[in-house]
Amino acid sequence: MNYFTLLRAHQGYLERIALAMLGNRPDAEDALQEMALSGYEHFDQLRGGEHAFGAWMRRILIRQCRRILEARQRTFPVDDLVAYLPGSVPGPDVEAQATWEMVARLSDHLRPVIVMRYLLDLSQQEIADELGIPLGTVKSRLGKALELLRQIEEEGRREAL
Amino acid sequence: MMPKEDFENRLGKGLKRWAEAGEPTLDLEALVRARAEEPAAEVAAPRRGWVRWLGVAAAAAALVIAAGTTFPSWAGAAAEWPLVGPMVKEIIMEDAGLKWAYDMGFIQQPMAEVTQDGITVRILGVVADRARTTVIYQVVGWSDPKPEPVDAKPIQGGKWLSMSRPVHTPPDVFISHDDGLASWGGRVVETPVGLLGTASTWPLTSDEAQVKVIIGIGEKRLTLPLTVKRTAEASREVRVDQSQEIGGITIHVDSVVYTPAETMLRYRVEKESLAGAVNLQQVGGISYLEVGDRRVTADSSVGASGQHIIVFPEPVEGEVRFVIPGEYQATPVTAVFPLEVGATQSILGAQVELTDLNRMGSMLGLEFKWPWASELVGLAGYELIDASGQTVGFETDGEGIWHDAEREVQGRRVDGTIPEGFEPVAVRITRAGVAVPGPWIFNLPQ
Repeated sequence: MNYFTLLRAHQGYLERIALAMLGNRPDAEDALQEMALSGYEHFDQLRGGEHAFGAWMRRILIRQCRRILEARQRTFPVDDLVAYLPGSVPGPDVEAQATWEMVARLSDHLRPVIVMRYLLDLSQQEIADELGIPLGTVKSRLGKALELLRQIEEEGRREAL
Repeated sequence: MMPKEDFENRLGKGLKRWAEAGEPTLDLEALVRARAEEPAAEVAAPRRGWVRWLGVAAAAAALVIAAGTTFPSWAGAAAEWPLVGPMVKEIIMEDAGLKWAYDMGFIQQPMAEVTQDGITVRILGVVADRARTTVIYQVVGWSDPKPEPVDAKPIQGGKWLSMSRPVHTPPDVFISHDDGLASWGGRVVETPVGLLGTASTWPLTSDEAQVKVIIGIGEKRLTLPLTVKRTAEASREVRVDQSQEIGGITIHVDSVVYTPAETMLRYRVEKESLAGAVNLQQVGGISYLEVGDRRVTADSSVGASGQHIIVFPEPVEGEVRFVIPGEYQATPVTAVFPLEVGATQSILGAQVELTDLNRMGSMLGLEFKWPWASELVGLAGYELIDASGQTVGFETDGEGIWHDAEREVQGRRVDGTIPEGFEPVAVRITRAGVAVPGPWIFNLPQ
């Protein structure tokens, strides 16, 4: 079981998770580098063999994403309504692409909880634990994010008419 | 609008398909091997803060210079070297502030160039304003990158060279002008047309200055002299020079820069530094401009060593007051927490609880919480203690803050690395932040 072979097999997916969590490529690259190094250094602690590798790396990646998000939060007050759209990242079909473009417009407070809930299928409690925020905050952010996403979709639909 | 369940279902499926379509774009193996082999002391500390600062400052810029032989537009560079223009543009587009300067036509091309021993360095563009001076450079003819990741080092700005190409040692870049010799690294990437990067230094102190850009590659030093002019027709800087002292903290506002798009202030805070995270809402809120009965809040601010620059996202005129609602400063404390979740200590009258403890190898993460309504606004100066009572500093590399308004509690999370061979059993906190209520108010001259 070679670490780099396993890493390459999961890398594309992990890159997308990092980008989705952090919203821009430079930060995503930072998180991926730290994840890859941390995984390499602690590979002997992996339990469950290669089948567990993907989930193990995802956890390390989320921790790195959290550190970057927290540092960002410390540096700048973030307005939840400020949209930040990273460069176009192609999806396999129009609908998947459109979904990403909607999510990419969410702020740093809202986008990660959507990614963790709907991409990674984590429970609200797991999101709270991973991000180190209270469960109530996760619930309110999810509610607000879904509301914004519906608005964005609705606006897109109106513009298309 | 679709029913909730259907919307969430489509959202999940769409996101999953998008993520599963991801293809690797980074050479993570090379990066890992490089860093794993590199002595820790040689790893440059990330300077992402400056990258953000550069973006802020560039966004605030309404001034641009022309230096040396200028070209009428960026298209000139693209025409001169067809491959360079698009790649430089790619770097610029990654930074919101530089993108803004680019869109406004504020980046011009001095095209200064020097060749030594087959290595050519070109200065492709310069942006100067009252906040900083930034050069965009290209290095070509440098020995081709070799796939020797063991010798590689992280590039300036805390990032790594080309993610899809061999890692290569970046050049040292210094920018010298009448305000001394200094530089901050920005983006550096390797491309098929050589290495492209940005570096910045303090703003010019006069409308025209001789600037030297010194690029160090190995033992070589390539110097490019430039005559840089600062044009001022688009904005003006007005001296304020007002000081106020409240609760032992003196704030001095140096100047205000009025631009067609934004308002920027420079000020200094004289206080005991905390070096820890503080939620500004707890000390009275974010600074703002008072324009008549209207408030304009800052969209960004940067500060280091007591020097601050704060940017407000709109132009203002008339009677304007700069208001800093509250501040904080550090005070020495001693609080020892056994490394056990649930350990509690009183700091400045607040009951602080160690609520989370994560250990992975040498990495240690700690989380504390305490009541929101408290004089205590931040923690710092962490030390680790082992079973024999020996103490070492806990070098933290990240700190996060959270605040639960419903439960009226707040928290801090710190992550760091335990020194090799040290086994901590407790953590000591030696500094705490104390709120100092304001407000500090300054009338800004027009």
